[in-house]
Amino acid sequence: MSTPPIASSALPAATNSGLPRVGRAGYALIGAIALAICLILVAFNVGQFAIAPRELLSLLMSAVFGTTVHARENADIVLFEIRGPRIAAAFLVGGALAAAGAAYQNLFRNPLVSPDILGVSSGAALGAVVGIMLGVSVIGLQALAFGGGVLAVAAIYFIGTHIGGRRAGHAGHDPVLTLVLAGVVIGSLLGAGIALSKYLADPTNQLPAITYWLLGSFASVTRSDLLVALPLIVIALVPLWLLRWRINLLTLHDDDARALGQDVSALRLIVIVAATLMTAASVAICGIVGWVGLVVPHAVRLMVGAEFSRLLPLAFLLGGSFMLAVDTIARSVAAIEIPPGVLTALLGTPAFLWLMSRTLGSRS
Amino acid sequence: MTRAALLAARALAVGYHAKGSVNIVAHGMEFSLQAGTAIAVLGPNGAGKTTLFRTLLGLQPPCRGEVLLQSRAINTFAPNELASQLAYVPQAHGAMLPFRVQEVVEMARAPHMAWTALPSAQDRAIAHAALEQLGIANLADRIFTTLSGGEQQLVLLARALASGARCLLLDEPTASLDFGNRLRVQDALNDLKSQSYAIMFTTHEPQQACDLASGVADRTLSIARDGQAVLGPTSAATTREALGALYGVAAERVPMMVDA
Repeated sequence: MSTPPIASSALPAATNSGLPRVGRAGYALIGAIALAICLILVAFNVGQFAIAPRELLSLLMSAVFGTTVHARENADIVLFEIRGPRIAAAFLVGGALAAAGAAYQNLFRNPLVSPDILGVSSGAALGAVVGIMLGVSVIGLQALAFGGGVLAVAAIYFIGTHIGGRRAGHAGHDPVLTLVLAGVVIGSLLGAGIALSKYLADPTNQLPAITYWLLGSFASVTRSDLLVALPLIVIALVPLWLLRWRINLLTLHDDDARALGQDVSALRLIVIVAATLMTAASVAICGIVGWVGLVVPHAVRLMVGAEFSRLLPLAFLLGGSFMLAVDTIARSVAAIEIPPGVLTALLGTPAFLWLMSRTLGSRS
Repeated sequence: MTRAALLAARALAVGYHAKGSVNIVAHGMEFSLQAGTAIAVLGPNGAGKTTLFRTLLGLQPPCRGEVLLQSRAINTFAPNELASQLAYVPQAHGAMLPFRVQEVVEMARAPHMAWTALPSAQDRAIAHAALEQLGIANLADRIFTTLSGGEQQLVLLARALASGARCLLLDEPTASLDFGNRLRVQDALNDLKSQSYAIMFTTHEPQQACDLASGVADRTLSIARDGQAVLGPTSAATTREALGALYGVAAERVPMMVDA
């Protein structure tokens, strides 16, 4: 509405022509799959016990078809117990966070919201911190983190839909805004709880564990962690995939979408449940890894547009690839491991700024 | 006029239901909208134009009276059925993510599609035909958010056509547009009227009301600040005296806007 008509007629023809629309997204998808495969092969080949592609293939063949193994001793342990789970976790968590972020950016009609806008990370963090202070087992810690994340979102959703919900007929009532505000308020309450726990924690044992957990890491992910998180993330991806076109309707204003016959509340609830499940499952096994869920879907949208059925697969693949690349660098460049959250920001910020300046520059 | 009404209101009062009490915003609405005709809804801000539209679209129940779509009460329609007969054209606002124009228009096929479906080739063709109907097929691959306000408004109008509805409700279709774009939207509405669409639109600004109302609308539903609604010929509703009374200003301060 504020765009003057001249600006649009002066748009460069390049935005309109170029590759046909299915073609361009198709090429991007093929590129993303190729990138993911390359990164996975590289990730196996990096580290103390490098597994080259040929050895990897041989081990996989023997595991699946029972063929003879042409690999070094212990290579199977490194593959299936240590590096494999870690690579799978990094890829899966990165993909899940980016997919959840893409869904939330549509739902909140805002290209710069992250999967933890409804408090899932703060809730999970508080759960984990309480677990550390109580000295529970690893499994208990993950359960508390997952439960904390889900509970926080449930509370925020309940508050957001019940404040003003009684006056559902009111034209000025915006449920999305109410959800965001409830998220901000409950989020800071949870933040205060985390701060208090850190203040009260034993500074020699508990406080470092809390700090370590809050930074996020894939170093301690085991195969059993993965077997718990994997089904949850896959189950949550299914509704997003099935509804990948219909989720576009959530970007419209509520009245607009309802006038198109869409039951907005039901669709919104499905998306929130799915995004919460996969974010909570991710956070529970590897701690809080920020940045990916915010910026990867935004960057993918700059490349292929907002249409969710095109956005979702690319966001998942590129989110996973990005996370895997970051984790591989984090465990190999220095003698100690660098927290992936720090690296995502260090690597991602310049890449994102470059992409943004290119895309916006070509449009103005 | 013997043609059957597509959309009709009988003794309609609209407002909010809040905690058991009923807060009526506008009342006394009585109209029949036939195919090939248009009604303008004119009134100051806050008079209840938006509330009327939400009621007509079945998004909130009427306080009194009833709304009929093809002689059937509106609350007996399933949401998808209603959406494919009665289309809403919101104000063009910049709050959308960067969808392509074709994708924006395809969203109108939602009431015809299963929850898990993608738009079929037929849905895409219908969407494209709607753009062609308004002469803006050249915009199909453009990014919606980079269009001008007038172009966005036409795209949203095309989206309404793609739903298959014959009855269109437009919220302030020209409010934020400059002179040239206003004329383009006005021409498009006149074309649709001559193609037997039934059109109803709101406007709050007398100048635009007169441009649009005298150009497009045969009748005007005036809603005063106190909520009293009166339906009359557009020429009678847009005189200096009528506008002065509607907006609560002296008649001589209303500029002459319609060529007598």
